[in-house]
Amino acid sequence: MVENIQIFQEYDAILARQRGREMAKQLGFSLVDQTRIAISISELARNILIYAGEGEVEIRMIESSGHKTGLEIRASDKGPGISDLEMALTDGYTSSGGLGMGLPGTKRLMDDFEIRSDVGKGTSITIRKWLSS
Amino acid sequence: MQNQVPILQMGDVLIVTIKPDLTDDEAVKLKDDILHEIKKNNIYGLILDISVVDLIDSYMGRILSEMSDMSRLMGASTVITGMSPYVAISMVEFGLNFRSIQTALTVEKGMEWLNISRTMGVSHG
Amino acid sequence: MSASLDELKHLLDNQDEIMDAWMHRLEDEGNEWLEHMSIAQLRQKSQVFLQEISELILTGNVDYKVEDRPVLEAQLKGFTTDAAHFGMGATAFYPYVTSLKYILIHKLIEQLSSAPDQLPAAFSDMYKVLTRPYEYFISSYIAMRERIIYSQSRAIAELSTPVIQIWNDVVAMPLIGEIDTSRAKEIMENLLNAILETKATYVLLDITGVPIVDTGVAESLIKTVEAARLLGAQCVLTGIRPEVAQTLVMLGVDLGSIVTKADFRNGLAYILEMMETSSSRAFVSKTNQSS
Repeated sequence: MVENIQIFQEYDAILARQRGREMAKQLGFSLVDQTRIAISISELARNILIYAGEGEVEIRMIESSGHKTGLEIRASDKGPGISDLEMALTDGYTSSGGLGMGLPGTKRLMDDFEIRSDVGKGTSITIRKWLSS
Repeated sequence: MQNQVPILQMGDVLIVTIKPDLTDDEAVKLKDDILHEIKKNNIYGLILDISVVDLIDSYMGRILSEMSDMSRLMGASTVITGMSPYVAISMVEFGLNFRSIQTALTVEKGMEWLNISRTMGVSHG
Repeated sequence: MSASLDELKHLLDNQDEIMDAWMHRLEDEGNEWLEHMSIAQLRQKSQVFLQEISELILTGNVDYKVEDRPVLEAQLKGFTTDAAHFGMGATAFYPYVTSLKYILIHKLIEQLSSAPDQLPAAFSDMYKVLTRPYEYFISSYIAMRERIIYSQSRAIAELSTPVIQIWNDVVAMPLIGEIDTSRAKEIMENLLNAILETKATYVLLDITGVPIVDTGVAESLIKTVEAARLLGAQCVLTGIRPEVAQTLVMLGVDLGSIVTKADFRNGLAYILEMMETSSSRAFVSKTNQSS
């Protein structure tokens, strides 16, 4: 189960989070977890639109070495990148003039959060949520 | 625009049902409409019913806050009603809390609160 | 060794006699097992045990492992389950085995009166054979108790997030026991669903029964209160003990956004007062509108 959504406009971000919610539901995530996942996808997709203009969101079902099922979301773009990662992960910080807790909030909602960013090359964020057995 | 959000008026209170997946364009239009109504009809209270909204991310949170702030500037108090438990839980974990916005369980309770706050305003002024 | 084994063999040939003596002794001692079952039942249970023990001694298999003797193991597991079920202690098996030892010692002394130099070897064999079941009993008893304690604590955790409607528009959630991350989530979900169900506007969240309130617990309580408020319900946190208040201040936890009252009664009084003011205001507002 893999879904790849190209993010060009606002509607794509909404589509991505709707697909994420559907996949989470299929895997048996609770309503609260589905919402946690949908919010996180929404934040990452909107960040792509705000900071890079375009990019993609990939959502896939995964299995851990301990046979746990989860959902992995990778949001990547070829935008300007983030120069100060630590700052971007601090509550209340924003460089877009409006939003600001996208990343720390997303990190709190998910089980795993990984970010890679190269200035001038782009940003790739991978998040995971595991089904609690 | 076919996805127009209906604005109901009951006495001096506006009731707006916010639809899920509101887009930027729709949000801008809705804000304009609400502020226009408040000015035109001498509105005292605004109820934003979000019972069909399935998530509040920072974007949606900001829109609701802005609607409330703008209405306050025009003299109308806002109550957000009908939030689902799972929306509330994920929102709080995410880090949004709407601390300055009044909330109520249902539209009816929102109405009640507006009536009470109106009386307080009368007795104080 | 072989000589003593022969004597033992002879001794054990007459199992019924040993069984009779053993059971009499247990009765005389007022063995704990007999508080929970009849002597006939205990005898039946002991039959397999004595057979297994006899066989081990007779085959000279004194360095055996209980795990390699499925019949004996099953029997001992049965004893363990019974002991845990009856609420007997980890030492419940000791007097029972000791009684058998006593009987066997006396029989051995009787049998080997003509060859007392063989006694030590015979005793040693018998002790070895009887020690293993006892060790096995203790370790499986402890494992079982731990399982019981674990499942009980789970059950308590489930029971201890009850939401009670105590008044029109008011629900109470008395929290009892440790709050960890998973329970904090449970508490939040239970409370919010109860608010939705009862349409309550006020919530009394009582933490008198929460032994440790650290930063983590405080944060989860704040989140619960905030989430409840988003639904439209106002929480009053009650039952903050003096030492908890001290810890929270020292940890720098800011509960400023939450209404807190010393105890449940004060919390309820506060809510009733709020309800009265708001209903009288609503009344004034309605009369104003109609006039």
